[in-house]
Amino acid sequence: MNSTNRGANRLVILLFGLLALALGAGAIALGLVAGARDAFDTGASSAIGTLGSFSAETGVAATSLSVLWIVALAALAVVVVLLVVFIQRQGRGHHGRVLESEPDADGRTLIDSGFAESALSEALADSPEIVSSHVSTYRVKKTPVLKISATARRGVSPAVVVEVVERAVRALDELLGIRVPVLIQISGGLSTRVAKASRLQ
Amino acid sequence: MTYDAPYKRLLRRESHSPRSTLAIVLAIVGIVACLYAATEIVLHLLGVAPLLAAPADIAAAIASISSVETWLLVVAGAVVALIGLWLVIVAIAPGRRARHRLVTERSAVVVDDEVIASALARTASRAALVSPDGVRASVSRRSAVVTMTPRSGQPIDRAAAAEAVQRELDESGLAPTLRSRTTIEKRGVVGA
Repeated sequence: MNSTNRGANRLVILLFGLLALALGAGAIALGLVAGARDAFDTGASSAIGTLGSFSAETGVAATSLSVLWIVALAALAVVVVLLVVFIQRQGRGHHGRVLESEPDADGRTLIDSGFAESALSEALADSPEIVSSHVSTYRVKKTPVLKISATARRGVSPAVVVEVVERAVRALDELLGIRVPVLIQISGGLSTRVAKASRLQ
Repeated sequence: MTYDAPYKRLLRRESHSPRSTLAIVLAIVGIVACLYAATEIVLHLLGVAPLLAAPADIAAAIASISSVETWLLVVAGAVVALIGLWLVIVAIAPGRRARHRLVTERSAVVVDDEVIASALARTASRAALVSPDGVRASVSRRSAVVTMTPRSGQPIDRAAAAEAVQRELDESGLAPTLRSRTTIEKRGVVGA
């Protein structure tokens, strides 16, 4: 429902997975394959040697600072910033309006999503079929969409919940004069298991 | 006016896991690791004592890792590789949630399997006149299983329950479609 980039989520998981897989496989190879161990030892010591001489050669004038350190710090900073942005991007997409009409000769109509949300919540609050409900508005492909999460009472058929919610939605349609796309999410969860089965049907 | 295209997208997103929690946890691990490395570098540049180990010592430790005992290397490698394999699988697997979809004339609907199961249990209990506590139901992607425990000595009308359950599923319009199996426990319970 939100605008989380799921491809990016999977990419991050995949990259970490491949990294761990490569490190693990490398460690196993070092332990079990004799050739790998020798190759690693020579490779590692020559790499450290190269790094050491390179850092000595690239010292910034009049200091003991090597350019290498600066480069390393910059790279780390870039990675940190990317990851922070990645986390920040999660779960966005809430929207404040259910209707934003194009301006015409008579003016422009805007309807706050709070209006639709509280109208629906209010309408659903007294339904015996629903333990609790929550309404929020998201923007999906530039269209506002109402998401109605309803927790069904134990044993109530999803069809009945849909019927109850849609009755409230149709009343809202009537009120607004437009039909906002609606997603209904019917969940069970702890409160369904704990709630008493309603005897009134 | 219908919204078939946005509904399709919505339902697909709602019935698959976004993998957000795991991705965020990994990102935080990455951030902490980077910040630690940066801290050690800065401390080294300032000539202050390192938190755990100076960058050069860390590099030397990694370079001489093959001197660690073989079994330790292999076990640690196996653990890390398994975690990596699991992450790769999680990244690639579809990650379906235990939910079913439904499109009505007005709205798009996602229903937790748990809710469907609970409704089927009640339908079966009504049709077969069994106490609601004597019925268990579970719903997976393609099938629903309803199990009834009879009160000792009282036979259960299995056919009636099975028919009522299947009719409810047929009328529900849930996708993917569900096939039901209604069974009765061989052993009854006294006074259930």
